[in-house]
Order: sequence, then C-alpha cells, then structure tokens
Amino acid sequence: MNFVFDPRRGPSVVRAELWGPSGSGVLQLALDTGATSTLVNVGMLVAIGYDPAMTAERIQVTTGSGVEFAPRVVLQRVGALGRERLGFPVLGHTLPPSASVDGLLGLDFLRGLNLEIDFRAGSLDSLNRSVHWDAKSPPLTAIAPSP
Amino acid sequence: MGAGWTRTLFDTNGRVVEIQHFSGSALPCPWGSNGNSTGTATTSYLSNSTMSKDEADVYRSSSVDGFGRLIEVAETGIGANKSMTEIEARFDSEWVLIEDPRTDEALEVRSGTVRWHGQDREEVYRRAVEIPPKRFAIVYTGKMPQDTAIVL
Repeated sequence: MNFVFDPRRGPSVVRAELWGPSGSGVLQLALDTGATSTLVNVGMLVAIGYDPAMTAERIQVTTGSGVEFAPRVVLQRVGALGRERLGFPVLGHTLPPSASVDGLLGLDFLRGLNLEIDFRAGSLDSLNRSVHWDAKSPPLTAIAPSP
Repeated sequence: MGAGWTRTLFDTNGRVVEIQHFSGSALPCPWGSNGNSTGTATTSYLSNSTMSKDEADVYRSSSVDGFGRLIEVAETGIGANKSMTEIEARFDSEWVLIEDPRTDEALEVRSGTVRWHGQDREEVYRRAVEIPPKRFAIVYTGKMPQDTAIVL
C-alpha cells in the first residue's frame, strides 16, 4: 500500500486513527524513526475519552532537550499506514503547535512492518512481504477505508 | 443579555452589506473606539444572486429568476458537508475539526462536516471534547514555513 507525503518541506506526515471510549479521531502524526514510542498530544487523547492526568503509569522519556516523565495510555486501537494495532500503548505529551502535527508515529508501531520511504517521490510503501514478527508486539491487522 | 451595539452598513443602493455586533457600552467606530466585536454578518450582491455570511461563518447564496422568484439556495460552511479542497481553501492555515470524515485507505480526509476551526489547536481539541463527535478528524491546513526547522 502506498502513502504520500510532502518530501520538500516539513516532517513526513502520515494519517492515523485512534479509537477510545468516546469514539475515534483521525489525526496527523510525524513519522519518526528516531522515537522508540508513539506519542500523542494530550488534548487528542482527552477528545477520544482518555484522561492521561489520571493515568498511574508514567515512564521516563528522553527528548532532545532533557528527560521528562509522560503518562502511558493503552489505546483500544490505532490505525496507520494501512495497519491496525489493538491495545496499543502511546505516550501522552503535547508537542508545540508549530510542529503542525498531533504527535509522532514511533518505532513501536513500525516494528514488524516492511516500510520503504522514497524521499524523491514523497511516498511511503508499506509492504506485506518479509514481515519479521516480534511476539511481544500488539497484534497487527489490515485497515479498511471508511464507508 | 449584556449591553452592546449593533452597527449596520449600507451600500449606495441602500442595501444592507454588513451587520456587526459589539459588546460593552462604548460606541463602535466611527462614533467611538469600541473594538469588541462579537460577530459579523455580511451580504454581497451580484446580478440575480445574493451571498451572505452569518455570525457562525455559514455561507448562504440565493438566486432569483427574472420575476424575482427564489430559484436556488445553497449553504456552505460550518454544518455542511464539504470536500477537503473546499475546507483547505476556506480555512487556510487553521486547525479544523471535521465530524464524520470520509477517509480513504491512507486515512486522508476527503470530505466531512466542519464543526470548528481556528488558529488555536487546543481550542479545537476542547471543542472535540465538548461536542463530542463519534468519529472526527483534526486537520491542519497550513504549510510549514520555509525558514523554520523541526527537530522532534
């Protein structure tokens, strides 16, 4: 499956859908192979029915500007790049609006995928072949378009 | 209801072209310095068509035939299903809350109903909590400036 992004400027933005207790939201995430965890703005998590402030689990996050602690929320479902993961944990952390995205799609979502990135054409190819599976990763399923 | 002023502007033909509301007791421009506008409705006229925009940013165009009979009314704006092209054109460089978006396999939004828009991303999130739509999309319609960098 092929996805497009603007290769000339800005981060490589991909669309993702998050499911929570009060519904689902489609948002823009920056594809970040430098991030080990997927990160979502707190406001977005609240909008789909989670309360990161009440989450007991907080994990240490090392960023470019220091070390912080962020709540980890297990989402019902996350879809992106034509794949879905069930019971997927994300970090609640709000990036500045100037980043123009609602969070980061990190390596934890990408593990097990065969992803080809063409920075000349601005395309991402999520291939089904050669998938090496990590038994600890949440289940990975195909995604379907909305009606 | 609080005190305020409503200012009405007319064109040279005596037709209403703008109605603007102001909060507070001070007089609005040009009689005073009150700039606390709480909403504006505008109307423009072209041949047999009238285009109006109300205080909620809903656009409505109406057309009449040669006898003055109403033949068409079209409404676009918040509350109406619009294509992503229209949304990007109308709400340039804004965060937009779209209810019940139609998406493709890549989750790109093709169309939907705009429920809120603005420069303040957190306000758009808050509106999504207040409404709350069963399925929604939040889209930023702007482009990243050439002279800035993002290091996440």
